[in-house]
Amino acid sequence: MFTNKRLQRGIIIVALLGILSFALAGCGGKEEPKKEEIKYPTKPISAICPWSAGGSSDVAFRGYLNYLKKELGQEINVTNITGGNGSIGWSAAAKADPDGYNMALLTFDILTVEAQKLAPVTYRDFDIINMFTNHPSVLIVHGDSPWKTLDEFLEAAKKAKQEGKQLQVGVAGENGLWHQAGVVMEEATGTEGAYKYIPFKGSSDQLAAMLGKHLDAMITSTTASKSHLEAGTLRMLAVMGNERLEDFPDVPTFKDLGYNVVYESWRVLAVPKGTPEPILQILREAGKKAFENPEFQKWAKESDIGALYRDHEQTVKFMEEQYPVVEGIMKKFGLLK
Amino acid sequence: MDLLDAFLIVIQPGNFILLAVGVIAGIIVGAIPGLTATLAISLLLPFTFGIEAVPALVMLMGIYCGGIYGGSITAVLIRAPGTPGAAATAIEGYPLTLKGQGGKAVGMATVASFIGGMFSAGVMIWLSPIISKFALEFDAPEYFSLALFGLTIIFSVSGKSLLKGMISGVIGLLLATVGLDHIIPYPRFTFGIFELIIGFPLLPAVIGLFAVSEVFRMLEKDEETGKITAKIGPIIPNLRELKDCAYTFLKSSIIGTFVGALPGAGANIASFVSYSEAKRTSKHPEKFGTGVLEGVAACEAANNAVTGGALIPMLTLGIPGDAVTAVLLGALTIQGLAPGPLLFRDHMDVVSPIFAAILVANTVMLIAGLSGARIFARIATIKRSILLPAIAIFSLIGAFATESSIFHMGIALGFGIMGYFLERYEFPLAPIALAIILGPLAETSFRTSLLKSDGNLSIFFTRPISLVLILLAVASVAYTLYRQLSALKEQISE
Repeated sequence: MFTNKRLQRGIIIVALLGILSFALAGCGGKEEPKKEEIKYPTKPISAICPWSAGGSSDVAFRGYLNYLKKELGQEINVTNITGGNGSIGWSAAAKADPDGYNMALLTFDILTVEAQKLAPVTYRDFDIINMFTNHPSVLIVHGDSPWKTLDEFLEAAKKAKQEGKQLQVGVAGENGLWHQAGVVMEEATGTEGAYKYIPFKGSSDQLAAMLGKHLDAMITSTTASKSHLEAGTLRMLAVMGNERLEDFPDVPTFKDLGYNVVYESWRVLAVPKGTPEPILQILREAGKKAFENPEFQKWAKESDIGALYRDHEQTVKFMEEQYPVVEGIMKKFGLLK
Repeated sequence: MDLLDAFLIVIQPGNFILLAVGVIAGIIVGAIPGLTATLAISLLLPFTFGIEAVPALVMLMGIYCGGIYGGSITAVLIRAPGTPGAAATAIEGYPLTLKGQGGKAVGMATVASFIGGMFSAGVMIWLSPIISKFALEFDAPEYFSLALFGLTIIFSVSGKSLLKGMISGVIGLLLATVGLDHIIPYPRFTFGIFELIIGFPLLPAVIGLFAVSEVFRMLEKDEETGKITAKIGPIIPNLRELKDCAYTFLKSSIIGTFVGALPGAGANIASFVSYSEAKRTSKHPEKFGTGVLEGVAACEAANNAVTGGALIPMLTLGIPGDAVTAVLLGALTIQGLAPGPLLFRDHMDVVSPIFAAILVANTVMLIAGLSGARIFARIATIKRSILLPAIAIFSLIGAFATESSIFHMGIALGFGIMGYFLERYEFPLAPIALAIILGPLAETSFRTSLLKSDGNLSIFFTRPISLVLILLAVASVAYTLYRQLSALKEQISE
């Protein structure tokens, strides 16, 4: 049958093309970069995002890379390798060739993964390029709730505790960033044991439960809730950062109110450890320029990603300081179990 | 901006071409096992950085509708569900192909997808606020009761032996416990294999279970048959067949829209629930499993109705209803639009075209699907020596593609081998897929509920929606037992 043959041929060609394209995609050059004159980058770069496509980290990462690739003059292709609180993606990224053609997004959670010993991967398996966002955690209640200020909320928490009850606080990711932030909050505000942490898979499930009034409060970032905060369906009581948020200047920080609660999440661009120094230099320069690009700044502000630049030395120092805190909280979780 | 103006924008040549390209690209990507609508949208997302919001969203809507529908084509023809949402479609669709009615099954899937898609779009346009408010009533206890009710569907998809169906279901539930515990992050049953901490991912598992196992099974058959089927048969379902399915279309569209609107449940659950419901109310439930058009209609109307449903909480609340809308949410954010209560107030200039685009995309999908059905259906008439390797390759590539993971290819292969042996000894595969889909939802929501209630089980019975769902589950079990008993009585009296 003529048509059948044609179709068969077509399918074979499509199949072969498919295989070929995957084979080509796999060819991340093994060739050693020459020490003397370094020409970099000469081909597209692969980047691993350990969070799902379309999520807030993915959007922020792709947005930043969009400007980084203009500086480098090469395409950067993002692959989302998700799961295991980021550890699957990071493990893959750490094993990639350190030739400058592989990069990855690191987030706060890599500290949690290390403290939990979830996977044999740490931020020390990477060479840091720079930090590009830093977002404080925030405490949010429903717009209809009776608590207008943080102190009213803390008062209610203390009262609940006296009555042998607990307030239900939503935290996406058990033992994760926002759960840890909750533990820091209860210690600093004298409300230990007043909260029951309800875990969610992601910030959107958490948001749904909050909007449905199935929670008393939630600890999250403003990214997913922004439009509800502006509309008044949700109310932000306080910010766990050193400064107030630009978009919500009326909301105080915990520090403003006399409680030392700072718990922030960050996003860092990194490459596998062992990437040659000249390439690191090129990337760090490009990373800085991309961040300073006014168009990126404008986009970052509109998208509310919490843009903040720290160079590689500052970033490493920052992570070194943060890790013991995370580890301490993890130990506490371990004792509580 | 009203809907009519929005229509005029969407059918402007530039936008319309983007939409049509989106639909067709969606159908093709959706049809390839493992390449899902989610993946298609994620891949195309960077390209929407550069273009304006409306054309970008119009195209994404096209991909969404096309992608969900496309999954059914290969599910029907070669039992390789292109997307997890089409796994239930294979139950009736593939036997139809074996009977030489593959063309009609694809035709029916197309018509049903169109009806489901249009219905849910209508609901989205006119009832969004009510539906999203109702969806918010769902908390952990409601999700658990929904999952429990869903698990009773194992009875409907068990085939000949109820016992074997239940064994399959339990195998699926056990497999679903592998991986990181969602409440206390501790790896379970991973045997030190690091990649397993995410458990058995749904897509490679489903591809392995259905498509890869079928390749093994077909290898056994003698070479003479040569093809899955020699006939394609007529494509467009006739008036009587459509009339027979009218009630199914309606019910499945409602189920699909509603399940789609729930943030914790998606196309895969909707299609199984609809299938079970169609079987329960059918005049000839005993024929289900042997290739019944109504079964295809139920699954496809439901999973395409999910599109409109899932967009409801995404647009009104900024909460994605499924994986695809999660990516769409990202796309909106990139465009500087924050989905949520203010979107409808401040950006009707974007919301209306989205509505119009869904309606137009479904129509394009119907036309493209029906005119392409005869060509698609020829897949099943290709010689096996060519088709089987092609299915095997595409299945493995599909398993690899989403996470670029060789390990996932291994999972597809492993599930293929398991599926082959189970089916050989007449253990049905659909309950395994169902249990893998529902297991994590049931477990997590059960434990979260008990966490909230300090271990008190009454939380499931004191909340009205949860109670209704539990009663439905009980009724579903009772009904199955009743049918089994009366069948037994008949046998005895004979």
